[in-house]
Amino acid sequence: MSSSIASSSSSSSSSSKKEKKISLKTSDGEVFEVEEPVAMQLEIVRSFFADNEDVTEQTVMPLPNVSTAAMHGILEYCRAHEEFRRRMPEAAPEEEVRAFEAGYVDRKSNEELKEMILAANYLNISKLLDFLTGVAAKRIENKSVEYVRAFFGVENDFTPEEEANLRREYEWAFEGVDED
Amino acid sequence: MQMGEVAAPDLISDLPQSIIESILTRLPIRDAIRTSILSTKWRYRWSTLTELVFDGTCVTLCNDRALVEKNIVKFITRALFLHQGPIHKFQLSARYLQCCSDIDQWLLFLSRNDIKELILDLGEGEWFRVPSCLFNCKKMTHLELHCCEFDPPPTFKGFLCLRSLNLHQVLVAPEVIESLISSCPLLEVLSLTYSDSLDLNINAPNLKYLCLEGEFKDICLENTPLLVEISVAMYMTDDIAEHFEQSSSCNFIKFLGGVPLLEKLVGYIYFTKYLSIGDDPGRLPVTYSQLKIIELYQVSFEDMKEIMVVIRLITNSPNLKELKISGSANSLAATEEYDLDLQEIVCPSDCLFKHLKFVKMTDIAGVPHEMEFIKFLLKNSPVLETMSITPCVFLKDKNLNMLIELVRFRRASAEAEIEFVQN
Repeated sequence: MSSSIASSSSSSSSSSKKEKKISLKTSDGEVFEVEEPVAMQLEIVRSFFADNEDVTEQTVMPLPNVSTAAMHGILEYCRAHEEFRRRMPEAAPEEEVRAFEAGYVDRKSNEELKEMILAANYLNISKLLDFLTGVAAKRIENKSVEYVRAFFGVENDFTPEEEANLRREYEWAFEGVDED
Repeated sequence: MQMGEVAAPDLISDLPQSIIESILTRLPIRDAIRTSILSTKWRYRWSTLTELVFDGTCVTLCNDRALVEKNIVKFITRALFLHQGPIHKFQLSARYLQCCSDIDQWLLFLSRNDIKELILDLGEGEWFRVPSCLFNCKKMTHLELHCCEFDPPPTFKGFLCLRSLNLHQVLVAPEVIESLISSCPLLEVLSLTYSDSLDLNINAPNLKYLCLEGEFKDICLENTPLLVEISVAMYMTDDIAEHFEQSSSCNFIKFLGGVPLLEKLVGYIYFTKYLSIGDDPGRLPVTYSQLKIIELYQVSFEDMKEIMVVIRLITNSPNLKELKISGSANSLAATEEYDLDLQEIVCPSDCLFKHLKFVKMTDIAGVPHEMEFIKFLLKNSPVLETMSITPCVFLKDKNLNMLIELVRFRRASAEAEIEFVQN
């Protein structure tokens, strides 16, 4: 009872510069209040609100395939890009965007990267997805097969003979591999 | 593995196919092919990629050029043999690959596999002669050729799906280029660079983006009503200069007479000079109501006709937002003679640049015509925000005089900032 009064008074006091927020609920039940322009970068949210006439500002959109951790990462990226977009028509300088993206991704482990890729795919955020798949590619570029297997946790189910044959067949593609 | 140690979870093998493809496409082709050894699931994943890019990263480079070439040929041939399914995009960027019959065979293979985008960026040695099978690629949407020569067979009726054509240092007869362009009805993007002495008539009803760079004798945009962006750099030779002298048709109209939807115009080197040649067009039949950005480099301010071109352009562009002009070295040799005509011509009193916000003038020598022009802009631009002036490097001692004169000019816009850029 008291909390609803508190929330309604806070919303009216900031109504002069109030930005519409959209509520998104992750798989572990946490609800994120996201500024509308940021939330609309998630194509799945955009179509949900565009196609459904009875949704209101109060509607909480469930996102059962996205964990809270992934959501944090997603929002960090989308909010930064919204910030860059706001500065138009002066586009944010390339170096700044690159620096942000590099810093953003450095801290992510491979497990986190994979989770974010799945989340970005589910939420349909094409720019983020392109960026993340590029990062994944960069992480395995010019590495040995063993490294890539270990990196992604892929189990080698070839028999030793099969693998040897395959390596012979593809010997032309294996010149000059990195020593890890 | 120790007892009780849990294997690291497989992070990517179960990602959706589209994401796997996205990752594989972003890898250099060599790494993509190597994934076939990861596990049985991965054996053929790379082989259905529809985009293949072969460049210097395919093989280890070393000083033995012949060996490198042999390895690249082996690599690409094996890759194509193992590939399955359609190939929509094929790019070959190999500067050290001399023409060889292998390339012909790859192109033949591609022409039978629904190729849509083809980029051939070959060595600067002998020009590669494109085989006729290229002209059988009916689904071609993007074609980019560097350092090639071609001659379509007489039965060739055009690439009916082609949207983008980029020819860089390509040896081909001018009539061939003209007829190629006009036989590609969907063409939207055209780039011709470093072509030789072309006399070109462009008939492309869907063309939106045009980029021309090279020695052009004559360019007529005969049918390009949808053009949105033009970028032209015209180089001069004695031949061409002579041709210019003898021409009487109005180049301005020939080039800019039929582009009402133009949004951005960029002209380098001799472009303004080119436009100034020919009879006075009088009142223009077209208003460039979408034109927002004009950039003209190396404008000779001592040539009245070139100034008229600039003025004609900007006074017919009511929504102009950004203007960049650089002076030409010729201005240095200009006489100080003040051509009074300029003052009369430039001032149709109702001419206001209602949307002009940014003006940048570079290589300015400070000669009277330049200063009059700047004065004219300042006086008639009510929403101007920045007028940036970079004097030309050789006249440091004149900078102060220029600045003194600038400061006196009246400004229609209270917001206008004059930025004098010191080198």
